[in-house]
Amino acid sequence: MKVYFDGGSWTRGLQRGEPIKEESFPHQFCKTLNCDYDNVSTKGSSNMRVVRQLLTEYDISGYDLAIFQFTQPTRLEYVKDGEWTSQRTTHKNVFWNAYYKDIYEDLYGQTLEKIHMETVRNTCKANGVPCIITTTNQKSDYIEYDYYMGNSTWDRHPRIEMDGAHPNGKGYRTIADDLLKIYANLL
Amino acid sequence: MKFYFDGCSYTYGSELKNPEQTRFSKLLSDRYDAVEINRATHGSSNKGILRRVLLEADISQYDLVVVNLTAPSRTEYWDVNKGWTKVNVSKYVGKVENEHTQFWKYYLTNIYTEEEGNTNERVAYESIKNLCKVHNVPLIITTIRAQRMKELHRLGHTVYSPLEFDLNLGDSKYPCYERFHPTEEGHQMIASDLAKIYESLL
Repeated sequence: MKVYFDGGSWTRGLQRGEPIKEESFPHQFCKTLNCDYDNVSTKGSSNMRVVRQLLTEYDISGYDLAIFQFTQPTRLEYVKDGEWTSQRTTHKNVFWNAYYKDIYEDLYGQTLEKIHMETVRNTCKANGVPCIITTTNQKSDYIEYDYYMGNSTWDRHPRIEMDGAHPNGKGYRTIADDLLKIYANLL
Repeated sequence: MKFYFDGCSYTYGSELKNPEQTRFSKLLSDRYDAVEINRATHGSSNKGILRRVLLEADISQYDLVVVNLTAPSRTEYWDVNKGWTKVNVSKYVGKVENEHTQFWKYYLTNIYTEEEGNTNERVAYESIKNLCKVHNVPLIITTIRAQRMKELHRLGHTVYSPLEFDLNLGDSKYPCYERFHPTEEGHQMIASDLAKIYESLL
């Protein structure tokens, strides 16, 4: 059995700015199931990146389960000097500041988020791969995720132990345990 | 029977005198006695097409889906005063500038890359294919990327798509008007070619 993980810093297993692989929830999840995994997540990722990687870089049909962590819909990526570059509201840049100020609207971001979720679900389903789509965003009326990891900024999941902006090892263990329960229900 | 069509001006039937009666979507639907639902609009982007197909159309209720992907340099955004607003290269040539047109002009000139456009095209292509596969609805996916595509020439980008499409509506075999949209005869030929593809899917 092999599991595909993609998402942002939470999936990468960041603690105080550094990834600790052995304490990340993908590692703890797969250690419990005694299975292999690929973790293609990256710090500061976007839903756009998750979709691009799923559709253009990896062959999801080679996996038995896929777990995704979506992030804020304001994040995006674009090609700069031949490399895909992440952009978010906190990065200082005159052009992208204008984007967030004059162009970006909540409805636009929410629509993109729904497109990304539908694309991920359909892609996994079309390839016969069960998937779990989670988020670090707060719960909202316009979209429903399989699991909410919570977010240290505004909606901390009371059961997830945090250390600054990210969970600590115990927090990631809780996420892994919750995901194991969801996975068990998929079988 | 019910057929769903989406795309840009080629699918809408731009330049035709009576598009609702003479465009290929109507001709193909009539051939199979199907109800024609055509959501294509002039200037649509692949992002807009994907949004409509994925979120607005209930694909599961159709017997055939025909989607035409368009110039990858086009995009769209939500304008609180105007709704979904189309962005393409030719749209801003000679236009009076405001903060939005200034932004998009800069984006298309300095930020947008061919790789980004091709990636977005592939995302739309794969996403629509997977959607139709999940709902077990036959899909014909077409392109207009051909030599006559001015938008891509202006950017100095490759006109042909690296993806494999079922049909190229920009093929020079289809007679076209001054602005390169198919004539009535062109639409008849496209409908005939689509019918052959549809029957091969059954």
